[in-house]
Amino acid sequence: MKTRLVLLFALVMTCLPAARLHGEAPPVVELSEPAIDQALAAVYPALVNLSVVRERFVEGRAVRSLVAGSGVIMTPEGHLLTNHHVAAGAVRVRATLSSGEQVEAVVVAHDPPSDLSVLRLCDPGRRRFSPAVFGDSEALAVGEPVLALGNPFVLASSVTRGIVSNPRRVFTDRAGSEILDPEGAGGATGVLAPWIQHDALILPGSSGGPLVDLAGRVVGINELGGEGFGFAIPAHVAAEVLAQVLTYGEVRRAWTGLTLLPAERRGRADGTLVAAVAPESPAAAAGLRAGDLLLRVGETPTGARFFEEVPPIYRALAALPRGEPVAVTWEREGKEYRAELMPMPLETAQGREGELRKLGVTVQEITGPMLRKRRLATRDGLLVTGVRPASPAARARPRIEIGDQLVAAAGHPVSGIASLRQRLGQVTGDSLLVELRRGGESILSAVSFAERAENVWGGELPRAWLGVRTQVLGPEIGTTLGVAEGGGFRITEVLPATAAARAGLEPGDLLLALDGQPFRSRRPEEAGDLRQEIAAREIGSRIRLDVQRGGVAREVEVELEAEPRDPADLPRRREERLELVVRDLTRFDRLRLRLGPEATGALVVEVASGGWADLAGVRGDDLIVAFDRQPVTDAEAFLRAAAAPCELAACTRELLVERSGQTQILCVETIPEGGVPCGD
Amino acid sequence: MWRLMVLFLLLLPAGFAGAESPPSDLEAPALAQLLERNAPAVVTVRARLRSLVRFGGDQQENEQAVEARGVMVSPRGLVLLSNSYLSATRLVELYRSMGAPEDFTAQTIPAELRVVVAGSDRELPAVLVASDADLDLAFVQLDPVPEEPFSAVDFTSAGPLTVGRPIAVVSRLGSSFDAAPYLETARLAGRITRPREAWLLDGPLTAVGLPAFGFDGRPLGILTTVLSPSGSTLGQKEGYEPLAIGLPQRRENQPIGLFLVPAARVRVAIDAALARVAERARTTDAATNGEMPSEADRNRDAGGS
Repeated sequence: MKTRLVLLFALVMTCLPAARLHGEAPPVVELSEPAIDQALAAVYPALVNLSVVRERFVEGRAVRSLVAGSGVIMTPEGHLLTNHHVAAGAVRVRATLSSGEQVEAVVVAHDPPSDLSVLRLCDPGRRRFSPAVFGDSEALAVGEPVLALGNPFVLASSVTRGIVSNPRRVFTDRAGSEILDPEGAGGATGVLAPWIQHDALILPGSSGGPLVDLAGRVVGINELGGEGFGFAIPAHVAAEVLAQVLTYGEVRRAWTGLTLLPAERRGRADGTLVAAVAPESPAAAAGLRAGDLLLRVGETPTGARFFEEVPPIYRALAALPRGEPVAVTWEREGKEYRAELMPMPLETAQGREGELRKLGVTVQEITGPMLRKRRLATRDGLLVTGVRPASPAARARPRIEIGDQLVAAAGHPVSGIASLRQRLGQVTGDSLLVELRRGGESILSAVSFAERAENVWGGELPRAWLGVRTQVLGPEIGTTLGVAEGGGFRITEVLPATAAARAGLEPGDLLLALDGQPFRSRRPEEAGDLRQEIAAREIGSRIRLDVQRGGVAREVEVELEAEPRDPADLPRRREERLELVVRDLTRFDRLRLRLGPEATGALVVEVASGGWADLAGVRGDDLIVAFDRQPVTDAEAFLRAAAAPCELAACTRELLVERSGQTQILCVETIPEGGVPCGD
Repeated sequence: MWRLMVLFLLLLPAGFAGAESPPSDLEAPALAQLLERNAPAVVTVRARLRSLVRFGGDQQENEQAVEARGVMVSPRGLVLLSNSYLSATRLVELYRSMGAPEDFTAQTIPAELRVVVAGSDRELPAVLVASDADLDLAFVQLDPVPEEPFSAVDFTSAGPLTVGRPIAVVSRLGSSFDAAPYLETARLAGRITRPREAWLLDGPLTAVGLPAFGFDGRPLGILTTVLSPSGSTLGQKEGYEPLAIGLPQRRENQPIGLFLVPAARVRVAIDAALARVAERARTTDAATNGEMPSEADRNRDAGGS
């Protein structure tokens, strides 16, 4: 569903102005204000707005971004439902309650097949929350009035109203539909139940919010929308997911390996057409084949004549007790067959992913569906999903590549992300041998962690300079200033405390000759000539400049000094946790950034996109002057301050920066070691 | 458009093209001797470069392996090579001259430097000690300093520069072709004084960063790149060879040319680099601390004159 979802959202974004102009909701049902008030009174206290820090894995590293969504509290203990596409990859969640209060929340379980996630509000005070209650989504009829609550465009809690357009909506297309992806390997989310289509306005940010009836009961969880369409996951699916999570801490489903199509395709009104059977699946073991017509599971008929009727069959199959044989009956070429099928646990389509920063890769646990989809030979180890450029993995010989299975490190089999991370943390030497499975091959790769910093010492060779900025004297300006003949330079700025300043050169001075040799520079592209001429002289030597000031010619002697160090040659210090690079301030920086001569601090020269610093809005050229209220005087001081463990429970660090002439506070959030505490 | 070129050029591998303008038979014995005498000083430098390219708020980090030829200029292991193999400075200048915005920067940091000396397969560790972006020179020092002195080219005994004078350049093939030494010849064809003194050559040479000798065996200077300050082309004498960081392959109408920088100017840079090496020897404790970028774009910070 992901691609389609993105597509719809993109449509919303582009069509928004038009929708504002012409998108008047059709006045189908006259809702009385008291009815709405009553419904809202019941559900509004349970509405939450979610601000999620999402971690994705891009080019071998974890990249974080902020996502907004909605949710609805369903238990007094603070369990809330939202969309999986809101909470996926969440490393930090902040929930804003209807009262405006902000509370941390943690993920309890994700259920990608239903596009639902269950979160829990953190509550150190063990207070009771006001939950909403489920309504009967199966009883919804076309035309029934509904309200959609949520956080569209992050506009805080909003309510929109509409009617049910179609209580059983299935996305179909020429290739079949979402129902052809029962394992959700392609991100399908409409497999288990048809959606409720309604016309209450749904926008990005509404995702995960409740769709309620006029009694304020939750009949659906809004999932996506656009162009006047809204789609919600029916409450009965959501209730089932929540109940399982509360009981088991996860959603347990059965896997048969069957992909189904409506019987209509075969001109039949009974049974369901088997579109595909996954290899080595329970259905395959039972003898089912593509083209069979599934008639019964146990003694229950499995009739799905139309698309809309297929999801309930999937749901029934998913609800089979795992590991308990069940009789299945099917028809093939006019003959009826019956066999026992042993349902297996349904695994998640995508295994957990994580970053191994020391190695410079992102890896994913390999699940059954991945094994089948990627046609991997074995399930060993972890799948490499990204390699960070210039990382030890990228430099390994041979290099570690995307799609490799990392099966062993330092001779130990790799079993999981956490244990491998721990093992890597224990590596003390400069190198490590890892074993990779690539296709049918087993490859040994030598990874080197050797420091790369020692190959550089010193930067540009010093050269002589004057300490002025100039413009070239073209004929146009020259004529006006009375030096039509020769070329030369006009001083536009004398940098403070330089040889030029000491020699008394002033802005507006015209430089016409160097040691008696008239300058020939007249064209804009010859602006660099002066620098070249000066740079060719020795540091400490004296030069004589023919200067014209206010129409009067004079000679100025200057003792050349070394050009100050290029700031880019200064040591750069990387703060690994916040992912930013700082260096000390130079005289050039003070001039360029118009900082006072007394300014001190750590200058930000690089902010990794998607790092914690980036998320907090830290930018290049910010001058960090304090960290958690400790003054920062240089790069080293910043690193020291940042290395101190965070004391606040939520680990929010306060950065004071100078930017564009004003001092401002930036709050940098990270995750404390061991995760966000949740008042347990 | 230039953005595309940046991406494209950064990925270009170094190439190789043969030399031309063969000398007459009479000169052959002298040239053979010149090659034999100077080839040992021509070494192979291998580097792994981390590059950071930024423009329009985007940032790309990459790492690439580079193999370049350099020349030993001190028996104590100081190697001179074209800065363009290790630094993106020329590239940035080139794109600036082609209209790249001010926020386009490219920085390269050698993550690993090794030198392979003639007659040995060993890769000796080295450190980038200095660069001169204007002259397009970089200096790499073997670290630790070798016990035994190496064969080196001495720039103090330079020969005179005159138009028409034939020159020979000593270079080496890549390791994939046995690192075989070879000779290229040309003549000094003219002289420019802006942006600095440099000599034009009448043959399309490949040996960027390597010394040119008179046929009498005396060094005359180093072949390096010169960028036209206006960004316009050089007229008839276009053509230069690929530089590792991705300077364009030989192509018509490019504002960079391969010129000879006189030995006198090179010597000043060598002396400054040797001073750096001596300074480094004194402060080795401080050197191991922290990450130091080798070489950076000479950005607008240093815009003063």
